Amino acid sequence: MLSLYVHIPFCAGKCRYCGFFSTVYTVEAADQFLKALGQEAFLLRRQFQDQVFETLYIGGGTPSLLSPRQITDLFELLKANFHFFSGGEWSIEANPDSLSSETFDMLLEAGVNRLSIGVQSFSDEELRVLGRRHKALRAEESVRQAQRSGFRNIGIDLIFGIPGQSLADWEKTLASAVGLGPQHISAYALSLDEGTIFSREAAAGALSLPDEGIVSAMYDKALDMLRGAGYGHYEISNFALPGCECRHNRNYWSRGEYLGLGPGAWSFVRGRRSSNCADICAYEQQLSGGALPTAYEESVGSTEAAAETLLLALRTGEGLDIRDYERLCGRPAAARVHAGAARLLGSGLVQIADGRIRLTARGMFLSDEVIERLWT
Amino acid sequence: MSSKEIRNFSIIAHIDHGKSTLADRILEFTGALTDREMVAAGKAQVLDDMDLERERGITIKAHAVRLQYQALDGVEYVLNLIDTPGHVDFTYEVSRSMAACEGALLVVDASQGVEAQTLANAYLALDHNLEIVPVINKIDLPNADIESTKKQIEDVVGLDAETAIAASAKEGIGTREILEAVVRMIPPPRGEEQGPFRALLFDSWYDAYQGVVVLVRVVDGEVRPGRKIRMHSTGAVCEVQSVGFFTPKMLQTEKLTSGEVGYIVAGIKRVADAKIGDTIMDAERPAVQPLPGYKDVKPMVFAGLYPMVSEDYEDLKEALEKLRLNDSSFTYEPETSLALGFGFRCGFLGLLHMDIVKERLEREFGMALIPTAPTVVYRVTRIGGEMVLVDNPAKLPNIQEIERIEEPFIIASIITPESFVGSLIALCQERRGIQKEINYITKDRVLIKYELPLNEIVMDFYDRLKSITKGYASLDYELSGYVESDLVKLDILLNSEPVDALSLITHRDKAALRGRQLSEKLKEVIPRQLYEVVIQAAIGAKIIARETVKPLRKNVTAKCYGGDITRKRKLLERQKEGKKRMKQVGSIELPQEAFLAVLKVGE
Repeated sequence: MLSLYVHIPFCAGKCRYCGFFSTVYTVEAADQFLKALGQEAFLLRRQFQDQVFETLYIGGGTPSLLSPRQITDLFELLKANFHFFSGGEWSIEANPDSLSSETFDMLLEAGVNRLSIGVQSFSDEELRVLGRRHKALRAEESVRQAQRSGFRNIGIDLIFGIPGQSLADWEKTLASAVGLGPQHISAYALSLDEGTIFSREAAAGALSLPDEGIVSAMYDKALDMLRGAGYGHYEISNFALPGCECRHNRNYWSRGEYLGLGPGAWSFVRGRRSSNCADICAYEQQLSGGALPTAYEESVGSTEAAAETLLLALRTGEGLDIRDYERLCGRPAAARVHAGAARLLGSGLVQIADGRIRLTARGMFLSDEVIERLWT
Repeated sequence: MSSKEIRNFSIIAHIDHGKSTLADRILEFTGALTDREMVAAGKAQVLDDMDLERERGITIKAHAVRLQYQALDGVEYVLNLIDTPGHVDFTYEVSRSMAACEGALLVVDASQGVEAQTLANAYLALDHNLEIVPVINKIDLPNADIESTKKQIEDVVGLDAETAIAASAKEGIGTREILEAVVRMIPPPRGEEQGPFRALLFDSWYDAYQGVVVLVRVVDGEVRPGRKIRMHSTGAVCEVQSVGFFTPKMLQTEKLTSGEVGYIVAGIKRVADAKIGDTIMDAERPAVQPLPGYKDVKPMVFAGLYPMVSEDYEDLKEALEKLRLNDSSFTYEPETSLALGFGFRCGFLGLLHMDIVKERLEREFGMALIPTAPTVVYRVTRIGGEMVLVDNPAKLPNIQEIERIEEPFIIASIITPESFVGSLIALCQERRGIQKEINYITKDRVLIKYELPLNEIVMDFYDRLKSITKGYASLDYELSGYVESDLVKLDILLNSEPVDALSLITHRDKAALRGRQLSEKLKEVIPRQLYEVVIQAAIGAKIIARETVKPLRKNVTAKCYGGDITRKRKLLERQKEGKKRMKQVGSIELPQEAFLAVLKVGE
């Protein structure tokens, strides 16, 4: 399966937990960027002229900041250069503070059929701590508005483990989320990514994070409540009503191919992983000179492929198919992973059934440890 | 050449007081080495030929160089300069080198004064009836105090310092005066030129081409190639292939005779067959009496050495074999630990010796090692009277079977600036020391003598001493004997399983504290794991300390999309490398430091 990712590097401001490259939105800057993006698509069109993209994901940044005209331009440039599967999943990320009914209509018209709303929390205090620019009420309204506009596939993102957050606070946010009835909920444990304001504050000792045991309990709570409400736990941080799993993201976890456009976007095409330069100026400069803005490129060898398969498959609810793994990297390597998993059976972190190795909920929250032990 | 024109001497000094530099100056002055050769040798100190010796500024192996010296009295003398190891671990080797001499230059740093090893070496020289020539070195330093140093030599060491020579080996000041004093003050060797051959073996090493080379001082008679010689202690007989001396170049001669110092090559295969201090005799015409003073040196400090990766066991074995070729005072034998698998119990003369061996294994042989904490040898008498030597805490018999345990004690001589006396006394008391003596050697420097259990020294005594005194105190010690003590085995249990490699033997009164400290230290060094790790310290069945390493609850990459995949994979590869430095003990992963945690207690 082939997917297309487009990175829109604009935000209204910097959130304290976010390590993604973004710059402040202005109409001019976005126009200039879209021009470069068009150039990038144009340079790649021949390479992909015989291929069909099954999913499209517009991420960022905050794509919903684009003006209605810019949204039209964006989709036009994509459609002009690439072929898309007619029943494909087209997602876009949106922030509650930048959504209007006009935008919803534009998006629907452009062909977008899945909306991923960056709610993060339904507590005003937590939103403030995170550096978000919307209030809880606005978040709820934007979800309802999207539903009214006709979106049948809405996902909301939540964060837990926020400084000052208690288990009860998290429970409230989960209840609000479930109450809105979105098709998809992502619940991410807060991580202190490099380059974020949070990571600097943590290094300076100025961040009081909830205890690891509490964060672990929050994860359990999410599983408990979301499963109870009918959401399937199909990846470490992702829950969906049956049939509403994000196809685009699933493609990443099954090592499918994808092309990434925009600054800092990654591609995985024909066994090569590559990334664009993350800096928007350098990105535009390269393209204005007629060159692809590639910053990094590597060929994924068989050992690396095995490592990727292991670490990606074990993120998912389906787990790792031992037979598939054996076909990929040979019987001895598969046997080692199998034996490693068997050793962990007693720990309640791993299950082996139907020729698959799966992480339990606890195993998922310790997946970096568990995967490291299996990767020998 | 008559033995009247021979002078055999060594240089003795506290570490860093300039012994090797003085040796270089003497070599230069007598023309043994030209300036050009000094440079070509590519190193400042010619007699220290192992990298480690130079790096640590100490001399491990003794060497002997023959020099020609045209004295002011018009006579050309033959001087044999015998270099001695400069550390407390090698006292026996030093004593044998001294036994090959009639005199010694006692080098004292004019800016430091008399230190613990100055004293220890001077007493050792006096024990061997050597004529001691005091040399006050480093007089070029701005803080040199010649008069005070002289006074210390007189008051503390008890030597006449009136004739002490003021010198700067670095600047070449005083070299002739020193050589003149050697010729005038040190007596020529005495011996029976016509008597049956007797020589003192004072050093030996393995040479890949010639086999074992032994350094000897011929006392009586002579030795030539073709003669059969016999090692008195082992009875081994071999045929002399060549004899000669070092200038420092190796030069072959016809014979070595009474009073001379030189080498013998006799087809000896192992250094262990050429024991330092042994008497070499003529196999056909053996002397009646061996020379006095021979001792079979026994290692005093033991530790387990295990390969980090168990597949490296054979490589480690080979490396140990090779090391032993050149170092007969170091011993090893295979042992098995439940926790660490197959390894070796190694015996060393002391802690420095242990460090040197460990470093050589790592550096020269590329071994990744897990050393266990050093221990001394305990004499354990079982009920019924049978005595066993225990060099591994894990091997201590059951408490019910033990009648008594004795442990080795030492006499430590510490010289320190006055301001640290209080802290040092506290340290010695804390280490179960018994005060023997406190003396002011100058108005602000003090000599402290304590009798201490060696097991308290091997832990981290020297490091503590140095840190308490900011490096100003010096230490020397000698074994004083075995004393019965109330000792117990302290076991460490991880998740209720005893880890043999972490056991230690300690005094009952200190067991609770040690157990607590060690558990706390282990808690620090053991990383959090998937499971809870309960650390317990126990004496027999009684738990005396408990710590818990909480299990990891969260270690997750919450988001893994496009570019995260590469990052995550690379992280996985790096973690795998890190894991190689961990030892799996049961279901627990232990880092290398865990096995030496006991040494780091209190840091």
